[in-house]
Amino acid sequence: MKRPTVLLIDDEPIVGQRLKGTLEKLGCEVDVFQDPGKALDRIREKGFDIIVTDVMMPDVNGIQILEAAKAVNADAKVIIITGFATSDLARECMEKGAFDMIAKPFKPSDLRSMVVRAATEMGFTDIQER
Amino acid sequence: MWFFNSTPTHDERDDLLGRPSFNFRLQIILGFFTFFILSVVITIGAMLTISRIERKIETVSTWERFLYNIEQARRWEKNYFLYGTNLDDALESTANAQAILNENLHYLEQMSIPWPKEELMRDLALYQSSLKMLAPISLQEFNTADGRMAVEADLRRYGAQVVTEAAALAAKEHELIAKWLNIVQKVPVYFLIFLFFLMIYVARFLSLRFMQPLKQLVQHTQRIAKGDFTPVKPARKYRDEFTTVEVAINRMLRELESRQNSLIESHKLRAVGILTAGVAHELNNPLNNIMLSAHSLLEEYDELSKDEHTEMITDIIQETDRSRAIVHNLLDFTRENKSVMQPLDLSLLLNETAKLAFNQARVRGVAIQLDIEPELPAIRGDRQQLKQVFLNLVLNALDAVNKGGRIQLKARKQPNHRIIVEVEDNGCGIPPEVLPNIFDPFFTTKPVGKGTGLGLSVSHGIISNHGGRIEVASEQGRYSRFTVTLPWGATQTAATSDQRQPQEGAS
Amino acid sequence: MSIVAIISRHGRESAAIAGFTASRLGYRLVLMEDLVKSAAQRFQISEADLFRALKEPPVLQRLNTKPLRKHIALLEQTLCELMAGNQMVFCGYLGYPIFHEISHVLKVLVLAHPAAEAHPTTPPETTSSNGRGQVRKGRWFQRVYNARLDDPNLYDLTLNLDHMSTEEAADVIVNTLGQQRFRPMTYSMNCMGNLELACQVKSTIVDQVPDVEVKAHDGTVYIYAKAFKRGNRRKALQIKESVMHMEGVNYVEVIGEKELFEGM
Repeated sequence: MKRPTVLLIDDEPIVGQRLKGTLEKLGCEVDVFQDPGKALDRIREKGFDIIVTDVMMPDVNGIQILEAAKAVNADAKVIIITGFATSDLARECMEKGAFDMIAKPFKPSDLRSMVVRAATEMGFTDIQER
Repeated sequence: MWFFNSTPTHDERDDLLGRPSFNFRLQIILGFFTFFILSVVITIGAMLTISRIERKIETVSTWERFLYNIEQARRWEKNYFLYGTNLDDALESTANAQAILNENLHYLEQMSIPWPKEELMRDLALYQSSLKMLAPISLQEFNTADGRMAVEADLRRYGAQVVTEAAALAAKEHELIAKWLNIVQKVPVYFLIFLFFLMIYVARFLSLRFMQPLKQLVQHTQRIAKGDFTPVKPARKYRDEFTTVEVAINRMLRELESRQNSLIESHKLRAVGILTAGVAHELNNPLNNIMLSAHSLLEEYDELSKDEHTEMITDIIQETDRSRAIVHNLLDFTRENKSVMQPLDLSLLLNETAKLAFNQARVRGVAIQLDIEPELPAIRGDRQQLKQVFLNLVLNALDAVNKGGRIQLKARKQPNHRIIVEVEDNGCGIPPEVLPNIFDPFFTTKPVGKGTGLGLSVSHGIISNHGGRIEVASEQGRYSRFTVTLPWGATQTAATSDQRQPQEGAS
Repeated sequence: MSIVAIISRHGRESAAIAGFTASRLGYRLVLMEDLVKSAAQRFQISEADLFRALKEPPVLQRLNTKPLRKHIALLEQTLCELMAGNQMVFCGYLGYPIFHEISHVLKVLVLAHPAAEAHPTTPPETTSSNGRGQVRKGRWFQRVYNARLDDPNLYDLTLNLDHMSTEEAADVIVNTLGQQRFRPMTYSMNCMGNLELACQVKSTIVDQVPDVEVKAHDGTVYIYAKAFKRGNRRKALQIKESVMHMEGVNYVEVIGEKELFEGM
């Protein structure tokens, strides 16, 4: 059975540390990046199924990640996590094809349920919350 | 608001009012009073002299009458010797002379110049007695008598003596009168000359006394117009009418200062409002880290090793500290603080400022580059106010640049004890026609409601107060560069007084 | 999946547009009357009272505005609860601040020239009462939300019925709603949940503190009221106590005045 590939981008190292395990437990293959520039290269190299990205990061922001991911794979599900959520940002992300968005701070379970929904929509059946 | 500044500090008032009062009214009154006293003295002097001359004239006439009578007696005496007649007349004249002398003796003793009273009286008495000796002798026998020769010699001697003495006295008195008259004539001329110079002096003195404070007031107003709100200090020794003006100016200064401070304060709050986007993001990151760590602990407590527990708890603590630091940084900027001039590490201050604006810049997709020369000397200044100036410049730059723009914050040491801080952006630039007005209050290029137009004028005021300058250079469509020059070290105190020349406009 | 909010002074026309839109999208239609009806049922109060609250704005000069405020709060709470299911077309002039905060609500302003009212077929008395109603709604909106009902800045879409029919207007709305930006997401759903909790809290405490504003964020409730500013510590504590036990509330913060960075 193929497992969904997840790319997690946040310049905060703790986000990656805490979420990698919990997403792997769901049955995902998780890559974590702190440098959005390198993440962008990785996306172009290898299309991911699910991309979780922060918005405000040095050099490259989450919107650029979203656009790049959608350009590489239009079916990719991009989940936006942001410390500065506004109605306008939400609409911009959705218009650019984001799958979902959540404001920081959030609980691991929030992200898990979003990832599960994304994976289910993509046809991965055995991804479920415990 | 920084009410500490507007609360009436009585020191400066006391400084002004504590001086002894010596007002212009008093000075003028005193001047005129001196003139009056002088005139009175002169008038009284003249009157006294004239009355003395009058009395002298009387004395002289007494002496003259005395002399006349004596001379008359001498003439009768001569007749007697020639013709043997008029001896009685001679005696009468002598008696008259004696009477005049006796009558006026007291008066003469007081009024006349010192005169040989005894000698004169003696001579007169001898003369008289000699004359009297002649009386019983008939002329015939007298002519032949031997004694006649002796009496005649005595008479001649004493008579001559009395005449000489009296004549000398009269002449002397005359001389004195002439002298006094001369004085009475000359004194008013001297007085006029003296008065002329005195008036010139008084006029000069008074006008100087008026002009000096007026000039000072003009200087004060010029200084205040440039944003220097230090109170007026007593420059003269005495309190006068201008003191009330100075006290009023100081009151106005306090008022202006508190207005300026509230302006600075409200501006600061505006800056904070602008910063919230950045702060929200900045604060939500550690909060998210705490939330994720805490929930992971909660969910997977049993599965995790002890080391992992420790790691997560340490993360939570560290991230809490981080949140506190963020709040502190903002708080530090917002806190209503007493304006204190203290030694400052400019590079630290610029770093803190950049930190405040950094997230905001990130939201806007703008890079802030710091280029600060190492080991900058410490400057004296108000930390919050300077931070506000630089933050304001950075936020302005942020408004001017587009996404992907760049803001450079540079600081370097200059010769002549100065530090230059430059805030440069590669944004839209400033149109040349508005460049000269850019530091004016209420001047803004932003749409209504977006900018108050007070930022740069407030900044200008703050920098002026630090003895520095703020200049702008810009090319439309290419860049804008604000240059803040601040003094440090020994020149700083000197420079605070030479802050009157703000250099505005293109450099 | 989304929500359409049609706000207008023109009840009849906008209701028609809302009807077409709802049937075209297969969404639930909620008119002002429906809202009043469900609120009356939910809270066991008379419909007439609720209608009165929609007619007479609570102004400071008027005494006894508490019931009006309470009724408005209850209506807003009901609106939030109805919105929770998404797929809804609302038509009326209530709840603008709620719609404003949710990114997946398409906010539509419907304008109509007075000529549209004075259509030859409509009897004159209806026209004049309608005219009065329009002015009244505008005033109510201004008083309650402190904003101009007709201000296009408040809306995503402004439709002028002078230039289109109600069906065409519904088409435009349906097309616009096709844009990705109006899709709901976890963030906007959370926002909606927060608003619902805030409305619940507000309608509970509005009796005790009339001039109150409530915000909620993930179970943390912020209560802003000038009344708490000074001296009223006990009242604030009392309020805090009563809100603390409500469902979904984790933490309550009572704040004297709504001002950013106050007291920092």
